[in-house]
Order: sequence, then structure tokens, then C-alpha cells
Amino acid sequence: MSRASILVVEDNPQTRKLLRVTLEGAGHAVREAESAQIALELIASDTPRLVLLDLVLPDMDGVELLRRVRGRPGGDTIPVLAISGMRARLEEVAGLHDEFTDTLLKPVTTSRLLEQVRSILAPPAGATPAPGRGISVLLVDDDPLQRKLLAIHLADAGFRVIEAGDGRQALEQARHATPDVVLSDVLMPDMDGFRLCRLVREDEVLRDTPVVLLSSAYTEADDAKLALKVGASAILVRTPEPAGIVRVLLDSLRAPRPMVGREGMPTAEYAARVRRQLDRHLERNAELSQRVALLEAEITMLAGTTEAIARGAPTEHVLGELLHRCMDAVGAASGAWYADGADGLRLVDEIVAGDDGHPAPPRSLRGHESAIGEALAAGAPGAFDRSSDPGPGRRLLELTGLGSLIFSPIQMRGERLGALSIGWTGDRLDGAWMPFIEAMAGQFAQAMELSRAVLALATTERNYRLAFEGSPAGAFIASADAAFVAVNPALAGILGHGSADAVIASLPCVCDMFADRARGAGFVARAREEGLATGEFELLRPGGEVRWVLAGLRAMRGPDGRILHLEGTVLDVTERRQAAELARREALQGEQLRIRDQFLSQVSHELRTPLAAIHLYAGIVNDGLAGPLVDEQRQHLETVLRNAVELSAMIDDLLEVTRAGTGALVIRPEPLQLDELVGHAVRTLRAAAAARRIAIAVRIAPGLPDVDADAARTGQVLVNLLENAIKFTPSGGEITVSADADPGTAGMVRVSVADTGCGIDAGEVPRVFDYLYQGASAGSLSRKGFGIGLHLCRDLVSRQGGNIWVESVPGRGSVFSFTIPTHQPAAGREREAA
Amino acid sequence: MSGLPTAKRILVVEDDQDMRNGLRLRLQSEHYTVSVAPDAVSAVSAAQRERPDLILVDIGLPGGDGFLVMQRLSALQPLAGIPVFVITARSEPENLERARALGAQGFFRKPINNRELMSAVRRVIG
Repeated sequence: MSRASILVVEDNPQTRKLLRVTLEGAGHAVREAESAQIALELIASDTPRLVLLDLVLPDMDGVELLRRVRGRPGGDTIPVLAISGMRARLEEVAGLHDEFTDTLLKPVTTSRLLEQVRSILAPPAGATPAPGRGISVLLVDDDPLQRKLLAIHLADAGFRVIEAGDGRQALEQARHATPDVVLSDVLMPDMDGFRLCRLVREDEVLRDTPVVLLSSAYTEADDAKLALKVGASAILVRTPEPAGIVRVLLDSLRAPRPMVGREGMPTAEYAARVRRQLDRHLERNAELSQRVALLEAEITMLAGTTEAIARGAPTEHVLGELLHRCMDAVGAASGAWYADGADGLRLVDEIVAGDDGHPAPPRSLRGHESAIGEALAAGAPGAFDRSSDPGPGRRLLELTGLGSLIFSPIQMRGERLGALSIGWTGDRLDGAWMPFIEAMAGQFAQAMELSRAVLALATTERNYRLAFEGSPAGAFIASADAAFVAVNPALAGILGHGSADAVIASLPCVCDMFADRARGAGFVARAREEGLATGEFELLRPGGEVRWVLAGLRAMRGPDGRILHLEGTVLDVTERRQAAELARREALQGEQLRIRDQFLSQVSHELRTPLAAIHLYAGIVNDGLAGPLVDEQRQHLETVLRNAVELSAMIDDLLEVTRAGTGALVIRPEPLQLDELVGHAVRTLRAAAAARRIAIAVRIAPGLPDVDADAARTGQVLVNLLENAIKFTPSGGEITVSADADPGTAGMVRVSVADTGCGIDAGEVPRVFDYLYQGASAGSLSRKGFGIGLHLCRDLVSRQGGNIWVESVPGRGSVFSFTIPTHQPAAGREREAA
Repeated sequence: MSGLPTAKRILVVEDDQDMRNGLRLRLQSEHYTVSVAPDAVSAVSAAQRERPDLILVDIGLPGGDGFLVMQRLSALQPLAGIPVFVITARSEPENLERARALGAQGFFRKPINNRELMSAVRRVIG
């Protein structure tokens, strides 16, 4: 027969395995490829008899792979069977009839697969078309599956097959219609193969019919001897490859009539052989059940890992369960798994058979982590038993009292994640466990890696969630068609809704956030088209409040370019806008004020210049420099001079009050002695007072502390008050300037200017400091100017932290008083601040 | 108080012609020799030419203000010691501070009080 194999090209490992097992069960040699690339390499190395080709492969479309195969020298004759789960796809490729030999729909059933493979491959290359043609064979087997499988093979080889489920039935059938040859399983209930053979030999009709015995398990020389004794033509072991059976069947027909022993059934020998066959069968069954246990453990692991991923739970308990299963499967006395940490291996879980909760039961590997690390130093699994060379492994056996041990590193892509150890009480190690333990370690590695990945993902997700939920900026996620999916609390706040859910419930679309919905829709459309959109928008809160926001929207696309979702941020910039607007207005106002100030300064200068000339020339004339004057002329000139000075003072006042109002007036407080300040002001006006025969008295309280005041501005207040006093005090009157500690407020000094003038009506008292206020009684004695002087005084005093007021008795005089803070030494001020 | 003609010379720097003439009249009546300049540039050349004993300078001048005149004078060695009085129609307190900083020995606001001015002049140059 040809050794050429069937190539299975399938990326799904389960399907691939199923196909392989089925085909191998039918006697085919199978090679596997999980990708088109590997398939092409395998085809290049050895032309397969048949290719089973999954149409959907990770790296190439099945049709494309077929074209490549066909394009190879000799590739056009390789039969290729298309496999797919999609009927439509199969129908489509079936249209390419020249290309695919046939199609097969998933899920693939065993019989359908084998039938199709057979039909494609028949007649098998190099085999006689039908060696069994015209020959009837009675096939006796109690296992219906085995019987069916063999029946198919024999039918393939051209035999006419009659089936029987046990020896008794076989005899009946054979007596009814004598077969050319009998093929019987050895071990069957009620009547085994040896007995059947014996009965055939003893039968009058059937005695010449050859019988071939088939053992499912095992044959020894003694089995062959017994077979001969009972008159069998041959005894052979069942193999997946049916060609051997066909040959033996054909041989048995050509062979001379089998000898029949006269002595009848050799009872003792027969019993021994049957028992032996049964033992062997049981052994095989045990092996199979062990394999089942291992597979079960593997499945547990896979299920556990899957479950852990689904739940995002730590996999430690899952791995503990697996360790348990693993130990059960191999009959181990102890098992442990370790995780690699900063200081080497750390025992995560240990199971000791018969462990009654003792902290370090016998056979425990607890506490021997460093020795295990040493045993694993080479990075490869290690197996130790009592016959091993001395070393860490042997030492561990002695320490734990175990008979044998297998260690395996748990590793992933060359990095060790931990270790697995399984121990037995038996002294001799069963080498068969080694690959199993290694496979288990591989599963542990997958699980630990997954656990790490799940944990990392969970952390990332948690961090993201924290960032999203806790962000002071509004953030949202919306579907591709701009429906809100998630909204963070900050955005709910900006939008004036109680909660994120309320936003999602009441706003169907992202664009509904904005007061101008059409603009919002344009914004969304721009993000969808250009990937990113930003803009400043007005939004209307449910209560009608208007907010301004800066919004950004990004369209997130999948690998295929489709929009998966939209991510947006919303910043409330209402305050910022208001502040900017205010700053703009203030700047404008500042500029306007500066211009006004400059203008007034200029005006005052321009007014004063001709006034100065008027004053200068009037003085020149008055002083007789332009010729002698009569008294009346002189008096009139003095009036001119006085009015010029008054006008000049009014211009000053006007400018001062403007400067104070615009903040251009600067107060620079410094420590001052009040008596000096008062003395200076009095000196300035003593001449003016003397001209009206008004006396000025000064009374400064002894030991008065220094004050913190701007000398020029405080002097200005004093002069102003004195000028007023002189103005309103009749000739021969008296003005008293006094200074003492303010009895009303601690830390303040009070300065008063008292006159013996006409006084102020009670109704006018509260208003005398008002801007542009002019007393009702004005006019009789003197002009009062613009009503600026006292207003300016109040401004200057309050800017220095003081207070100004007036007490007056009409007809007797007024007392104007103001306060100034006393000087605080630096240390004292700091203490106060603290 | 000297009633006799003196050799003391005063330079008046003032752009307003009326003020310039009026001040000259006033000072001549006190027997000082008065020269005048209407702007900053001619003020400096007049000072170099006349070597006055006192200079009265207005702050608001065309072609550089009174402060500039003071700076020029103090930079010219033979003129640096000449006493200067500042006259101004402006009221900003900064002007007074600046004039003091530049070494002015008198500061008069317009309208000028004649008595104060004359006593100051006599105090400085006799």
C-alpha cells in the first residue's frame, strides 16, 4: 500500500483532531496543517493522496490555496475536498467544478467523511481492485462499532460480508448459508472465538470453512498454538489497516483444510489462554480509562480556565481543582504548584492524599521550595525515584518520604511562571506520566498567563472607569449613530441633569445637548467624516440656564474602517468666557479711564496756563510795577487775584477727585508724626487765617503714637478742612486743630478741626461729604466750589483705613474729625496677622 | 533785599510768551538781569552763553520738557552747579518728586505766588 498521507488543512484544532482521528481510525496516514502556509510546505515536501481543505483559513482563502496547489507541478491531479460550515459557500465553490474534487458540509460525520474519502480514493493506489470479489465472509464481533468498521473495509475489498453479533448467532447464520470464510473476534460474551472455531470444526456442514481469529488486544505464541488446536487458520491482532486482514483471509482460503484435533477442546489450555486474553483486555481497558482520566483532567483545566476568564475571577482555586484531578489521574500521593515571585518559588497550593489538615503532613513538599528551584534549575522537567543519581531530586525524596517525584517548570514563551510537582509513594517512576505532567504544566502556564492578563485587563478597565467617572471634565461615549451610551457624572452636572442615566434617558442624541440642535448635528457629522470635531457651544439646561461648553468629539473606527463608537469630552467654559468678557470690558474701561484721566490732566494744564498769566499780570499791576494805583483799583485787583487762586484750586479739586475715582490716585502710607503734619498744614494757612484775623490753635495730646499715613494725602485733608474752617469762620473767630487717641476705636488716632463758624443744619450733616453736594446756605458767605473738597477728604481718609465725620451746632460752629491708623511695628503686625 | 542793581542773572525758560514776559517784568523789577528761552534747545544754548546764576524752567516745553533741560545742564560741567527752579501748570505729584530727584531747589505751581517766588530767589542767589 502507499504510505502517502491525507493532508488535513484546518485551523480549528478540534475539527482538525476529529478529522485526523477519524481518518487514522480508518487506516489512513494523516498530516495536519493549521494554515495555508504550512499546508503548502507539507505539499511541497510530500505529495498527499488527498487534501481536506477548510475554506476559511487564517492566512489565506481556501479557494486561493487550491489555486496554488493546482499551480504546482503535479498539483492538478491531487484530489481536494472542500470543507465548510456554510452551505452557501460550498455551493459557490462547487461551481468551480474543475477545481474542487468534492465538498463536505460541517459538522462532519464520521461515516459521511469516510465514505467520501473512500469514494475519492477508490480504488486505492496500487491495490488490487477487489481481491475479495465473489467471496463471502461471516464477520463475528460483539462490538457493533468494530464490526461495522471492519465490514466497511471488507466490503471495500470486494467481500460479501455477513455480520453476526456473537458466536451463537454466527453458527446459526453459517448453518443457514455457509460462508466462504469466518472472521471472528476472540473475546465475546457467551461464546468466544476459540469455542466458535471449535464448534465450526465439529459441524458436519461447516467443518471445511476456514476460521480466522482476531484479537483486539494481544497474541502470544500460546494463543497461536491454541488457535491451531481448535482448527483456526490464523490468529491476528486487529489493526487499523485492513489490508493485513484481507491478505490473511485470502491466504486461509488457499491453505489446505485446517487440521482438527481429535482430542476435543483442550480445556485447561483454553481456559488459560482466554484468561490471558481477558487480562490483557482489562489492562488495555485500564490504560484507556487512564487516558480518559487524563483527558478529563485536561478538559477540567480548559473548562476552569474558560470559566475563570468569563468570570474574571482569580484562577487559583481553579488550578487547585485541576491539581486534584491531575493527581487522581496519575494516582499521585502529593501534588503542589508554585508561582515564581521576587524571591524564587512560592508554594501556592498543595494537596497531599490523606492530608488531615496537618500543617506539614508527611510527603508534603512544603518548605522545600528552594530545593525544588534547584532541581528545576536546568529549566526542563525532572523525574526522580529511588534509583536516581544523588542530587536535589533524591534529597527531596528522602526529606518527604516519597518514592518518586516529577517536577515540571510552568513556563510561557521562555519565561518561568512557576512549577508543578507530583509525587508518588511507589519507588519506581512510571515514565509514561512525564509527558502528561508536562502537558499539565503547559495548562497551568496558560491559566496563570490568562489570570495575569485578566487581572491586568481588570486593572486597566478599573483605571479607565475611575478616570471616566472621576474626571472633572464631562465625558461620554456614544454609539456610531450618536446615541448616548455612557455619560460621566461631570457631564451630567454640566448638562444640569441629576444623573448620567437621566441624560441618557432624556437626550436621544449627542446633538440634543446643544441649544442649537442643527449646529450640534453638524458637529456630530464632522466628527464622523473627519474623525475629530471640536467647537464652542451654547447649551440650555432644563431650568433654562445657559452654559457655554467647549466640546470635542472623536470617531473610533474598527480595523475595517467602520465607526465603532464616538468618544466625547465637554468642558464648561461659562466662567472662563464670563471672566474673559469681564477682562475685556475692564481693559476697555481701563483704557477709557486712562484716556479720560489724560484728557482731564491736559485740560487742567491748559486752563491753568492762562489763569497763571492772569494772576501774574494782575499781581504786576497790583504791585505798582506798571504805574501807581489808587486804593480802589488795588482792591479790585486783589479780588481778581483771589478769584484766580480759587479757580485754580477748583481745577485741582476736579482733577484730584477724577484721579481718586479712577484709582489713579495712589496712597503710600508711611510712619508719620502727627504734630509735624499738623504743623505744616497750619503754617500753610496761617497767613490766610491771619488776613481774616482768625486765630489757629494746635493741641496735640502728649505721647501720641506715630500714624501710618500718606503724608501728602493726609496733609491735603487737613488743609482742606482748615480752608473750609477759615472760609466759614467770621472775622475774629477761632480754629482749633487737635489730635488724640480715638476713644471710639483702638489703634486709631483722631484729628479734629473745630471752628466757631455758622455751623451746619442738622439736615445737611449726613450729606456734606457727598459728591457735588453744595449746602443750601451757600452763596451768602462764599462759594463752595464744586462740592468736591469734603467728598475728596472722605475718599482719602477711607482709603487709609480711617473714618471722617462732622458734629455741628448751627450758629456756634462745626467740628470735622477724621481718624488714621496708628503705626504698627512690623513684628506686631505679623502677630496680628497670625 | 537789595535795592541796588545787581549782577545776578536769571534765565527764564517758558514757552508761553505772556508768562515769559510777565516773569521777566517781575524779576527785572527786583533788579535781576533776565534772559529768556522759549524751548529746551535754546534754553541750553542760552545757559551756555549767559552763564546765569539761576534758571527758572517750565516743565511743559516744546522740543523736550523741563526735565530734559535739567538733565542736559547737569551733564555740562560748567553749568551743572547752577540752581534750578521748576515751574509747572501740571498738578501730578510725580512731577514734584522727579524735579527734586533731578536737583531742583524750588518747585512752583502756576499760578505762581509772587511773594513765595521772590523770597526763594533771594534765598538762593541773594
